[in-house]
Amino acid sequence: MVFSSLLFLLVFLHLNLLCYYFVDSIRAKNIVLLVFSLVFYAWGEPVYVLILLGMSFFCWLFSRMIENAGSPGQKKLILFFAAAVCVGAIGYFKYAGFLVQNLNALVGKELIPVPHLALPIGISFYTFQLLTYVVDVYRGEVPAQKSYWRVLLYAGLFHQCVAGPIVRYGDIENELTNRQTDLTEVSRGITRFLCGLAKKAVLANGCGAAVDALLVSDAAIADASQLTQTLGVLSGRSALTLWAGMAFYMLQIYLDFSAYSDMAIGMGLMCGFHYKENFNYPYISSSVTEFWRRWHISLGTFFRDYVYIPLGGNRKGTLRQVLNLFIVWALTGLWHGASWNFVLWGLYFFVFLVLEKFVYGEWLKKTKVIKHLYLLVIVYFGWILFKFTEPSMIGTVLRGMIGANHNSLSTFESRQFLGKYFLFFFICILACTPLVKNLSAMLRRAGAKGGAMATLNSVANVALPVCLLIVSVLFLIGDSYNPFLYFRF
Amino acid sequence: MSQDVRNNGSAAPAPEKKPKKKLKTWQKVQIFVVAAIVVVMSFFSFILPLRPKVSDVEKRKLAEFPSFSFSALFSGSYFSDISAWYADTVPLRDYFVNLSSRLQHLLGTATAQSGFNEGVKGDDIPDIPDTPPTSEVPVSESQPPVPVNTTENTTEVTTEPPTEEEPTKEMQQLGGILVYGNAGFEYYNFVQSTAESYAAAVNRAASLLAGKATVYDMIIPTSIDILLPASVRENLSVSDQQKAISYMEALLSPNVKKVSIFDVMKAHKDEYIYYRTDHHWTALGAYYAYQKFCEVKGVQPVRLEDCEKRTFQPFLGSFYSDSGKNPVLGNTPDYVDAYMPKVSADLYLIDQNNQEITGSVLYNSENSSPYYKYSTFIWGDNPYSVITNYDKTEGESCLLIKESFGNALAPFLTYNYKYVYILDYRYGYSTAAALVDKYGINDVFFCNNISMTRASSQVSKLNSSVG
Repeated sequence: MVFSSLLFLLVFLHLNLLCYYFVDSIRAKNIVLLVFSLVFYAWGEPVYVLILLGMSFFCWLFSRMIENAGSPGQKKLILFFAAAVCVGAIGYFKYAGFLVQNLNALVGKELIPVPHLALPIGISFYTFQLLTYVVDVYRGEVPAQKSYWRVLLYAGLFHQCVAGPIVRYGDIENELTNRQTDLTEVSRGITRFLCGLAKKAVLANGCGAAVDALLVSDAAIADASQLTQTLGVLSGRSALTLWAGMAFYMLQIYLDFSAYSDMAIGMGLMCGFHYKENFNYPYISSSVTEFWRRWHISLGTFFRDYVYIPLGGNRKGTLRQVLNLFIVWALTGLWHGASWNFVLWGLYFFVFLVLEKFVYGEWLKKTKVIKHLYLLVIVYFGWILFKFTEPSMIGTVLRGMIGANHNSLSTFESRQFLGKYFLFFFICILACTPLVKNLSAMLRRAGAKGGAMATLNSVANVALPVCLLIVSVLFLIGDSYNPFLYFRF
Repeated sequence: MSQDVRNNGSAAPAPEKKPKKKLKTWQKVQIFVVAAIVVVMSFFSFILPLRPKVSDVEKRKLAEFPSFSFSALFSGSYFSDISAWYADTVPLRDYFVNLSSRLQHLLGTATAQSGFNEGVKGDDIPDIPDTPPTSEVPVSESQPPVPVNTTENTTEVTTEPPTEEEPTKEMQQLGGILVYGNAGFEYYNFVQSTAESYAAAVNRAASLLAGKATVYDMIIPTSIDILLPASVRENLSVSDQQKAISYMEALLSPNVKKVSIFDVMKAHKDEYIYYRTDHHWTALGAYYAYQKFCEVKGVQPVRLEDCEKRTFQPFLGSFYSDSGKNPVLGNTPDYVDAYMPKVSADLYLIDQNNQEITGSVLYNSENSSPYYKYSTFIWGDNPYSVITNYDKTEGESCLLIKESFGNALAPFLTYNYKYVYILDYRYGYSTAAALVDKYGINDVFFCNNISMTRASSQVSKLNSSVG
């Protein structure tokens, strides 16, 4: 089930909240959440739900053992096992095919038949959550959870299990057993959830439809047997179409992903959980370094705290620091998908991060407009590496962008299309900036003084979520097109 | 939890320790209103009798509630099918979809929904085919493909008189279609390999049926090349249909009788021969093509005055749906004129659910929805149908192999044949070879629009229907 589906919205979530508010004790509330979470997960993966149950079990067990272990050596050994289980599961389901393919290519014959495993939904998210839990217990930062069910609830809670954010155990440890339903927060949660829903159902899906039309769909890219056709389509596109298609992709990927985080945070608030922000308007950054502090924050901090710093971070000399960064960014890329283009995408950012750190970072800070343009251009071209899995496609698109595919720079069809999409494009760009957030903060401040502004503030706070809800539902009805991009990860 | 929780992230600590804020009135109202809307919508969605089963606009069956099986359960398809059913059959779906598409028009996002045709110019159409791809039927020396080319050159001069150029109308692209003035047009792109497979399939029929039946072939041009002014057309990413038809016809073996109707359609381009809101031709357009067929066959066509004419309106076809129900098309709906030679005849058909039906050749669409009016002709697309002309005690029979374009033409054939067998090749009900053998059919008539000759899945179905 995806959040932006009618069944989730009108049946699942509302039943869940009804049951959740109906029962009194925290224990009963947790049972409600757990049962709904398991149904939610099993809805998409009726068999693979066992992996979630199993992984949670091992991590619960290993954490208890770590806490009770006598010597640091024992603790380390158990941690090693736990990490092996987590990394092994994700490695097997996500990367086995990729590894075997490369191995076969390396030896030049089919040494091992390539396994075709369906990727269990959300495995990249919940195994990382479990991993942080075990490591934090090992580090003594959190106590091991006594109840298996609470570990399962932590890993499998449907708010964040399949699409992030990667919630740290320490952040919600207390709330697993001790949280209140505060109506002001429920109200905040509703608004946040509906903003996310509209962002997904209206904006991200609209961008997605444009991307599929202007470029090619992800399904076509993934289908190796269609490669010639896909290249044919791409090489026939005018420069304008390719530039615009990638711009829509850049908008789509942010709006889509951040919308899921918004919905997760909103649902958390409705139940008394406080998840950390996962996106902070990344496209307004002024350097690649800043971009990665604002983009998918929970993943960035995961790699910082569990890979970069343990490797020595910047404490072991410049050369070692560069190597550490290289490892972190290769892994960050690989996390996004089992394909070389993702690794390339990660390393592409590595190059700019190193350049900023050691070459032109200080100079860049002094500029005003250039630093923003610089960041946008880098991120824009990065998405080309991210979108297309085949080098031949990347080449075709880049050539087409400079008009080297023997097409006109623009066509009647592309001008027509973009003319119609112009208003929408503009709205999407605004949605990537803190404009709406700032406006609502201004209104709130003005309303605090009472009078007409207070009334306006109240009306807006009721009318906005209601409109977002109705419009989103209408779009979901009218739009059978609703795949979630990040299910691949 | 007595132990202090250390925060090792970088962001601010979670705000759960803040003192409880005072609940404002608007917050209560907001929670109540949103919850009430969701509950009402949810209740409404479970009024099962209101859930539609088909979509008239999209001409498709909506998702059905899945039947339970363990294999479906374990594969996950059972649950995903329930989600699909729930979303696809929303009560009053057509109304809400309509509302939604209006919103999408306001925003501009409706444009992307049915594709984008830029750059898919199609393959270059070779001037003269080297050799026909089928080795079974050798091209006789007396009919080299060169004359085809000369006809093409001469017709081009006659059919594009510059004086007839109309004043330019507003042109826009809506969804995957082009809208010029108040008419929709479908893009056509030549695909050489598929075009060659098409010709090969027809040639195979000719060689398979040699000595049993005569094979006729008609490739119907679509409105974009007939109605759209040349000056408008040349700015689009489309292939030249006249050239494409000539190319395919040149590939056909001499045993296939070619019914070339491009010039015929062009000569009547100022008449109502194609719908504006639908991709089909009208019965009038089909009639001119039928006349050409009779000319090639050497028989007398029925005169239009000798046909019974019925009119059904309004008609809003596929272009209207594809454009996201754009009012530019919707404000000027089409009408369906249906003609039936005045003979005593009936139609027997086997429909898509394998039901047998016998009735009149034209379906009375007076009360059917505006989206279905084209189904007047031989009751729409059915796997297999037979028209019997009771005025003829004996006479020839014909097998029409067609997709939906053939429907509008079929009634006219009643005049010339005792039996008209109609096979919609897309459903694989039977094959030409089997039917010819079984009923001793004299003529096999391939009657299809040019768009199918670029769709490899369609052409492979056509090929299977040969036998």
